[in-house]
Amino acid sequence: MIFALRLQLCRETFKLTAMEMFRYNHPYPEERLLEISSQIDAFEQYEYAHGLRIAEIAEALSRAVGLSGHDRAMLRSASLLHDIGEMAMNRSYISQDRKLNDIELLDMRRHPIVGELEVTKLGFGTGVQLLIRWHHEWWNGEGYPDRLSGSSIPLGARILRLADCFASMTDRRPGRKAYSPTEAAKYVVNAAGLEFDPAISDLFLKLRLYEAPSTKEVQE
Amino acid sequence: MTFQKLASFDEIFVGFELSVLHRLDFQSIAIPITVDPYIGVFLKRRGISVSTNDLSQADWHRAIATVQNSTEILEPSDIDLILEDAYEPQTHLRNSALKIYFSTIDAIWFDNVRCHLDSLKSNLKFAIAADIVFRVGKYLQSFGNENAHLRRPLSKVFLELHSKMEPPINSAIAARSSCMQPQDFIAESGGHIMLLRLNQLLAAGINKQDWRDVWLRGSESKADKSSFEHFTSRSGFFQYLADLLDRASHFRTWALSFCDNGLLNAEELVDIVGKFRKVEAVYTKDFSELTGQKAKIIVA
Repeated sequence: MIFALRLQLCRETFKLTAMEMFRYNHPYPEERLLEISSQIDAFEQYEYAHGLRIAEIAEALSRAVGLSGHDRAMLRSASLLHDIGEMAMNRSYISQDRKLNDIELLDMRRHPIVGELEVTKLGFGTGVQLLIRWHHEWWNGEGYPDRLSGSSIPLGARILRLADCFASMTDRRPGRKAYSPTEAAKYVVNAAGLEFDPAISDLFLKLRLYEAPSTKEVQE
Repeated sequence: MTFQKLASFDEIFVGFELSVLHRLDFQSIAIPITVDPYIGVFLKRRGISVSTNDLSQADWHRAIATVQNSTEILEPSDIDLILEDAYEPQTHLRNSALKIYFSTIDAIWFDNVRCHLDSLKSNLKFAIAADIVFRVGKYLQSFGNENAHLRRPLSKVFLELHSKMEPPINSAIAARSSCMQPQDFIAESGGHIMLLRLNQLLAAGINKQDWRDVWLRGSESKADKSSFEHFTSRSGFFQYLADLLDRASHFRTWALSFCDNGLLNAEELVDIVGKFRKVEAVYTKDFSELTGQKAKIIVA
């Protein structure tokens, strides 16, 4: 039931026809993509559709900045599959109700590269692979794995960073409660120029995306 | 695109460099021009003996703070001292050149903080504080008029960046950072492997003023005249590179990291390296779909 709802949401949000999916050279039909995304969400113990929530925010931002249909389709796939590396690594500490220690944090920093390899195996193109590789790069160059900074980080990866962070903050995670959308929006303000591209943070706030109903609310 | 424009490209793909280095067997590494010291931090954590070198005083201070430093941290009293009355205007700026880079109010902050750094008790603490100030400056420069309303007070940003700093790696393995000419560093350093970052070497030869070095001087004094060669052509750079490699024969392995951006290309570089020793492998990572770059590492 939830899966069918997700599929409907996805179709309504992205308005991608089967022909567009074919044109953008997706190796998978929409249903399969959402199924993998659901598996990742379940592995990471998200209560609601995290990947889809990111994809929605990323779609709104990328439309506002004028990304092409091709780039938006890549970003949508990357949003849905961004943490596939965590699932592939299959570490037990992911589900434990505590903060990670230093060694676990370092280990977890490998997941974007593992994710890049996983989507390569699934047949996704270089664009999706690289967006997943760079979804933890920070605007100020202190992210990982490549420590890119500023406009050297592709725009899609900058959008994905903010969408992932906001969606994750507003969901309950092992070791912490969910932040309210207002609290998470405050973080977006404070992290502008550090973790996030200030222009993307500004756009996120101007579009009031933090007020959009969460997947949880839609599903309920 | 002009030589100067291409030569100023200085992106580093650290994740790719580390993935290639993981394949090689070594216990010590020398990096003649480092720029971003993170790779040294990562390798030090793995128990590798790391020697870094930089031409810029600012980059050198960053390397001291993060690679060479094993135990030192900034105490709350140090932070209080650094940020005390940081926005308080003085009769005049000690270093008026800061106004070239910052608004008057921001220049006052940088000027005062620089003055306070002189009161810190150790060179390591100075380097740690300077590293944070560089990051504050980078934060500041990332805002334009259209999103300046998101900017926070610089002292708050300093505090936040300090709070997120990873503690230094307290390793018994030696780590040192120096600031000298690359050819001198190569001659003086030992190690199993030399990682030579070619884009950074090229960019260092472009005569550009860096606000961080201006800020570090702390006064109106003129910059030290750099004796580093300023490249004006590819052939000049290749000649310089051949000279460096000639001096680096004592390293068991060379890893030459670069982006194939039209100025540097693997074929020509393999030819140059091949005059000194056999090229073992050329590793390539294609980032061109989203960045237009192909990162490469020649191992010899």
